[in-house]
Amino acid sequence: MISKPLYKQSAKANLGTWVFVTAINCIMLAIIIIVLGRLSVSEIRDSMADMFIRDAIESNIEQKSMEYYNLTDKTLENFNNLYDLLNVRLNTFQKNYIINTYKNLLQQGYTDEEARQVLTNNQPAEYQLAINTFLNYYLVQGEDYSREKVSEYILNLIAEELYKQVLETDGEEAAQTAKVFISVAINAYVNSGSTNVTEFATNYIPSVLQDVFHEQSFTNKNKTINVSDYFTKARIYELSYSAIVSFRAELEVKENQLREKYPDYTDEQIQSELEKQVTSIIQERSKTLLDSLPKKVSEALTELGDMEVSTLVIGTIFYRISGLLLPIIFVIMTANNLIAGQVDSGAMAFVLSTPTKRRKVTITQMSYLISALLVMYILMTLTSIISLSIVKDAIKITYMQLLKLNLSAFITMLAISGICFLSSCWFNRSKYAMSIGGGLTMFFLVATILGLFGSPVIPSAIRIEAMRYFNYVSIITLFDTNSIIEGTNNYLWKLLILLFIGLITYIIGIKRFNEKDLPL
Amino acid sequence: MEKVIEIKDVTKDFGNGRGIFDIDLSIYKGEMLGFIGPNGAGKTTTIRTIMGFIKPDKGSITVKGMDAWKDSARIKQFVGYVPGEIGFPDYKSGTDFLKAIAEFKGVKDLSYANYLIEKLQLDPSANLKRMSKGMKQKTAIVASLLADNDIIILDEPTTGLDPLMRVSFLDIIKAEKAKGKTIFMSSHVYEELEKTCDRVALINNGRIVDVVKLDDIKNRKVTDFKIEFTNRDDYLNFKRLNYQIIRDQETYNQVTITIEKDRIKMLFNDLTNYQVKFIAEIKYTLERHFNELIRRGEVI
Amino acid sequence: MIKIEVEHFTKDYGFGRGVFDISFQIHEGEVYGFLGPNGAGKSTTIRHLLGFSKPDKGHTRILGMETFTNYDKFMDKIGYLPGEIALPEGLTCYEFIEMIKELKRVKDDKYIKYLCDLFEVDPTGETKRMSLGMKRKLAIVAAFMNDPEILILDEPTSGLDLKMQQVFIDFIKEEKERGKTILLSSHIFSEVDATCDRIEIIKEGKIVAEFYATDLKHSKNKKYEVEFSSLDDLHVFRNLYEKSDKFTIINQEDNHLLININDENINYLIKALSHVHFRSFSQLKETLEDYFMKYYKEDRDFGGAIQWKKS
Repeated sequence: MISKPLYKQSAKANLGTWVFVTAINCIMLAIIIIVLGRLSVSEIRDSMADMFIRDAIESNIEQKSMEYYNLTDKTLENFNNLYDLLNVRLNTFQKNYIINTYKNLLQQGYTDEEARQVLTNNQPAEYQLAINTFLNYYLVQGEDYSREKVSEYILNLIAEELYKQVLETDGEEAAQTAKVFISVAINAYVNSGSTNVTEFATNYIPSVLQDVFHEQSFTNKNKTINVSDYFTKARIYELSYSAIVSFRAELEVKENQLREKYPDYTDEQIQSELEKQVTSIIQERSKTLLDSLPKKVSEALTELGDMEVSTLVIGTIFYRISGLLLPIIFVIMTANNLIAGQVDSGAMAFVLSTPTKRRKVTITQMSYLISALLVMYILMTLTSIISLSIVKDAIKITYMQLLKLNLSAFITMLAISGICFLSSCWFNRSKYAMSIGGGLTMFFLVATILGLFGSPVIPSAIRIEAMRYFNYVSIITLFDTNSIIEGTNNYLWKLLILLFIGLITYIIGIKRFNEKDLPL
Repeated sequence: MEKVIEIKDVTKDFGNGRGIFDIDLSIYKGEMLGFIGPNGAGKTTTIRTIMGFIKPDKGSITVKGMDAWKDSARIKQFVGYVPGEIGFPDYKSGTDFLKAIAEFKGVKDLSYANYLIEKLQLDPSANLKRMSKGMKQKTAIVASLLADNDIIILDEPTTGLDPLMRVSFLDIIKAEKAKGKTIFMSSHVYEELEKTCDRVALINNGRIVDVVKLDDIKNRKVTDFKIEFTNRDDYLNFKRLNYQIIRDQETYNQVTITIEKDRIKMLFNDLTNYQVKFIAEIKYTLERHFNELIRRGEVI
Repeated sequence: MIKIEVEHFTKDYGFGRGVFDISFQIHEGEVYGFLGPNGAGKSTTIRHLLGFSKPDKGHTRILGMETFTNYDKFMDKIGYLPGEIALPEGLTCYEFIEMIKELKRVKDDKYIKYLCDLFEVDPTGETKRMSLGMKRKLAIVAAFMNDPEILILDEPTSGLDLKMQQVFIDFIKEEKERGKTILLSSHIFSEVDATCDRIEIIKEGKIVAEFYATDLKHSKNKKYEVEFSSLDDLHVFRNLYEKSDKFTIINQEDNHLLININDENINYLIKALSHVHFRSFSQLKETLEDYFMKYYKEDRDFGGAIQWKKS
């Protein structure tokens, strides 16, 4: 059904254009893949992502350090005060007196409350507190006033307090964690024999956090990230320590400012004012890089860190646009040369003045066009595979994906070539054939380019949502590169549609050419 | 009579025997001179020297007294020219081209151009590149005549025209001649020149073979008759009369004789004695004249 | 045997252009001439005979087969020379010849070589840079390489120089001798004159005349112009022979008379003239061109009837 001599002539006549287009496309493809690989664009992307992760962890460490320090500081102060109250303020004699009096009063029928009333009556405020506190202790612990016992008592007390507090705001788990943490901290404090709470806390917190953080890991976009990959224990210690130190400095500054501002405030009042500001100070000091940037920019950078640049470039931009452009030009010109051009010039008369049926002519020309495209895409597939094997893992794209991309591009071109071929068979003048067929094809391509600007593949900083409507008017949209890259199968049924378009257009073209009058 | 174009002793040698050699030709005011010869004889080359497109190796060409090579640009202002091969400069349509020519030649009144366009049935708005050969030819003809120049030079102007247009064109040329223009036209169709020219020059192998006045051709004193007799006896008897027989076809009982026109009566008188089957006149044409010259290898 | 047949064929392109109800038949061994100006319908008819277009009405047949549907069946027996030559792209002369050779399934290389030599075709050139004449000669080789029994020629000598025109005409005459059937469409009278047996004149898509060439050339009807020595001599002659049935006086101009006479009566005229004084006697030959112009003359006087689109 194919005329060999005609096929040969078509091949010869269009060889130049074909070689040019195929060579340039293959070279472009090879360069893109190899350059992307060599440039280690992934590394750049990865290091950007890294930077953000590192930054986030750092800020987390700092934040936690300051929070825990603050908590520990306050708690240990509290501890000291209580201990003071319990074991220092009252001497042994006073303690015995209080116990005996309390017992007697209870024997006499006083309630606990009434007894306390009697004991604290006419006592200065600090003594009243001391007596009550001591009584509480006695009632729980008895007469054991050893350091350990007292500490233990106070520890439990404080721990319970904290538990109740945190339970209200942050739930069971957090409350439990806090309780455990403070218990350990107090123990450590007691065992250290230190009396300077601030100094202790400043050194204690980093040493605790360094262990805690170093073991931590979390997931970010399906990837597990270990903190230990980014920070050593020593480094965590450093970060924590310096965060705490600066925090303390800031507190001092703030405190002085407050005193200046409210010279007649009592210490407590100053402290409570300071307390109000602690949260914002902590937040301020533990800001991440991203937090300090304007929202749009930080969003853009985050996306950038997320982008898989190489698949974007290869998959979408190349295979869908710049890689299709030259073959489209080839198809527009060649489809015209094969039929309409020859009718227009009159050269078709030579072929048709031989015993060659019109159908044979159209089928031969169609075969040439399709086979030219096929060889072109086979060469491109080979080029892309070879290029990928050179750069290997530097780019996150698989051979299978490349195969699918090339196959889909070929089938897209089949549909496009069908449209141009139909135009060429329909019209007798070159200029109509090329403007209709070529014009329509170019429109599709431009629509695809415009549509790209609205696709999620483009970072939001540059994306223009409304543009994606252009995708609906182009058949190139049926070339679903996203589906191929993501590994889904959506692209398959779309390819079937393209194949169908190609089939229909070729058939209509052949039929039309067979039946129409030719002005030869 | 004033010589408008004078070609004296002009030679242009392209090598391999091609070119024109020792051409002497003068064209007088108000005259139409035809130029005929086979392809490659030198017609176009001669015309190109007149137009100043090529410089002769030797000899001189003057147009209205001006040197054709040195003053070529000035000369072109008053010469209308149709070249042998039409190649238009880059204008979009025929109309654009004709307007440009008119402007170049300082012609404001395009009524004559429009008349020519009508007469030649040309649609000048067509795209220059897409015109058929005939249309291009017509456009070139209009371009050459619209300025109403005194001198018109035409190199095979009827190629590509169909017979009707050819007749229209010849009518136009005859009208131009009637206006007193000096016209130089080359062709390879004898009839065209016969119908229009005063004189015709024959060129062959780069040399002028002969220049004849058409009057001499048309008004020759002799003519030829082919006479066929119904029977052999009459044929043989006639042959014995002393007419000048130039061709004898015994099988058909036919003779062809040359006879002075004023002796025809005498011929008829003789013929009354015979049974004539038919008598046909073999006219002497320009073509015949030149073919004989070429055959005899005569060069003047 | 009828080789080419056109029967009540009509094709209307609108604006009065097209071919309207024409019929003719071409027999084996005939050379049939189509004569008419551009746009008359010659190329249209040929286009339909070759199966490029479909008639609106009527039939076009070659070898008895309808052409639009059966062209592939008789194409190998046809040699077609188109009016305007456009060669397929990207081929050298040699490749072009090879391609047509394969398409036409020609086996005889010798004949191709013969044609190339005869028409001075140099197969080594590139088709792009060829002159019109060279292209036409190449097309001639392509058309005839299969030694077809039917030749369809559309303005075959346009672009050829005089020498090649003669070569071509001689070739056609030889083909005729070999019994080929030839359809020749042209507006060059000399080539139609030289080759055709029958001639058809087409005007605005209709056949206005169909005749045998010999009728014209060796017409037994002749026109003579007689110049009398004086007007009196003319009147004498006229009075004597005005009513004669042997010949007709068509026209008088000064002392010239135009006489129409059939050969069989020539002796009568000779005798008549021998009695009067006349100065000259010449024949007014009607050429093909003259004959052709008759059909167009009226229209020319009315400003030309050929349709053309005004801008």
